[in-house]
Amino acid sequence: MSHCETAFQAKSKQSQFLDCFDSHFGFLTMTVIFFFFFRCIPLYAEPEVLSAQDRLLLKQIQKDSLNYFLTYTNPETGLTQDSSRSGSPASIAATGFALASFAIGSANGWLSYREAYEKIERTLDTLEQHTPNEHGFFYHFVDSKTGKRVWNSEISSIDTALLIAGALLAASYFKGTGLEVRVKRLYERVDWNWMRNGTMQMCHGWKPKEGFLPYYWDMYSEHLILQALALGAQTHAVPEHVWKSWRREKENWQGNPIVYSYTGSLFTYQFSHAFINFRGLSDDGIDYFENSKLATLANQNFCFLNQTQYQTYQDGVWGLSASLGPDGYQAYGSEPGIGLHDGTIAPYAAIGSIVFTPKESINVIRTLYEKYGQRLYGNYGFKDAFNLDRNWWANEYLGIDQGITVMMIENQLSDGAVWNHFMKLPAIKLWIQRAGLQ
Amino acid sequence: MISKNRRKHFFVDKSFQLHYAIYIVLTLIVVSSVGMIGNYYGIWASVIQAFSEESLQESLTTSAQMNEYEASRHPSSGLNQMPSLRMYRETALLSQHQKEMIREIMDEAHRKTIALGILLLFFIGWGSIFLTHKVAGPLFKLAQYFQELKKRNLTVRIKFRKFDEVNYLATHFNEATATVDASISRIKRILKEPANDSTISEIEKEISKFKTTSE
Repeated sequence: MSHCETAFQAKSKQSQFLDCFDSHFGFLTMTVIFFFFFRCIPLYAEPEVLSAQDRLLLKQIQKDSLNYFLTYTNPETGLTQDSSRSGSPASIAATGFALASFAIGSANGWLSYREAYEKIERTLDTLEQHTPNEHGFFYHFVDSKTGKRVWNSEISSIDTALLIAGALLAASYFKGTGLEVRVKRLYERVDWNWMRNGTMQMCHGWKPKEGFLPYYWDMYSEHLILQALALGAQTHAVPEHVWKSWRREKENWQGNPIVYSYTGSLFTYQFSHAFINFRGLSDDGIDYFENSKLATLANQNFCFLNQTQYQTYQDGVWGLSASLGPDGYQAYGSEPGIGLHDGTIAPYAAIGSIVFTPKESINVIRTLYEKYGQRLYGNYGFKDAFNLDRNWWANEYLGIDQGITVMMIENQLSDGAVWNHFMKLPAIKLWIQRAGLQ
Repeated sequence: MISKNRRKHFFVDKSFQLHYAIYIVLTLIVVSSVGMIGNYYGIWASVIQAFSEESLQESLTTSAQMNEYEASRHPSSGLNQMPSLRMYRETALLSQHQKEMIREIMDEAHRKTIALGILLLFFIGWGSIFLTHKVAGPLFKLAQYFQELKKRNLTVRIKFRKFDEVNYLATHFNEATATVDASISRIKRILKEPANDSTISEIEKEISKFKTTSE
């Protein structure tokens, strides 16, 4: 074989190899692209977790729960009663939920635009002119007729935050109107720094004679909404390291770490989430949405494991959260956390977790509605709680619990409508940036 | 020193005064009763409501609930170790004690109201007699003066008390009596003088001023 022939043969083999490589590379490339691109699209229709009947039931619960705010909000002052119980004072947190609910009611066509607008306006009138405040913070409980402080109520940081969040959300439904300006003014009036009392954590509250309460928001709980508003404020914003200063205590549950709250009450994993969409936000690797989902499943599992001890937990019933109980209001909860429980279940707990665990939540909601609806369901949705073991049934509704019901159902049924409004607020964008959330 | 205008008798015209006194007393009693009943139900009803069992229970529950809210927020504070106010057996006793207190206050208020009512009735009675005296007194006097006129006594002149209700009548009465007195006095004086040609005509002129039923 001549050198030239040998060279030709070698070149020919190389060429064959390249041709072969080219054709296979093209195929492989296409396969890889196809795999990565189309793996995001399900190849079959994912079954809906909620059936049409489920959605109808949730809509009914949402509408009935909203009626609480229409009935128990004082028509003169726009302040909402803490509870449906006669003689109950107004709570500023319940008022915040009322403002959010009026906006949602208007979006759903249950209230006309004008009705909702006027109701929100009336509340703002009272908050601006008649309700006493300290550095922009309001008292937890006020007289629904006058707006003045009642009993020995404290200036409350978290309840003011829930009020401001509700007002901001309501105003965002009425874009370009005077409500936006007024709510902004109310928000800017709050001196978030003052509530730190010179520390790096937000204090729970303040009383005129005693001064600052000896309790601080020092570990995970419902205070994330307070943090978000305090960091995202244009005026009196707290320093960035306030966000880092509270403890993220973790405990493993079925191999998954949960950043847990002290009480393990479900509401601590829900209240901030009603406004803020934590999906896709990472706080040094913590996804608080997934965290709430795990906490909810842990709560369900805790009830399941204790069903032999308490009859209420049978038939798959779960939902331990702060609520009224046979011995008064208690911060019921599960593990991780102290896990205080006595067989009392709060229906709002499962409803408030509908965005985290739609399947598990709807199952228990349906059971509660169908099995105990006669005693547990009324004109304003589910009553606060019940305990089969003690044959105790709440005869009242709590404003904040009806509020979380209205908001979470709205997020679930209306493609995160509340989140979509709230996450667009400049304050929230600024908080995400300052807290370093990815 | 005894005042010149001092009233010697309460009843100058008993039937007249009693008649009007009854009217006045009844009117005042009706007005006072309406006022008192309105006041009673207006003020006391709100007090009774404020201290009713339901209201006390509501207040206690609210107080307890607020305590529980605070305790539930500070679980590590030991507040939750405290038994709930709802569980206090004293709650029922407190309610009972409050009710007894209210009952005592109300009984005392009723006693005072009745005593005040009796005193008020006495003053109304006395006041009504005083008022009717101011009307009946002048009328009684007027009747006496007319009796004098009936006896053809034209020298009488009325003088009522300063604050009597029909004081203006005295002026009119005195003017009328003085006019007639002047005419009769003039006729008497003409008749006393020695008669001349003009005597009859002067008397006729004076008498013609009177309008009588014989004309």
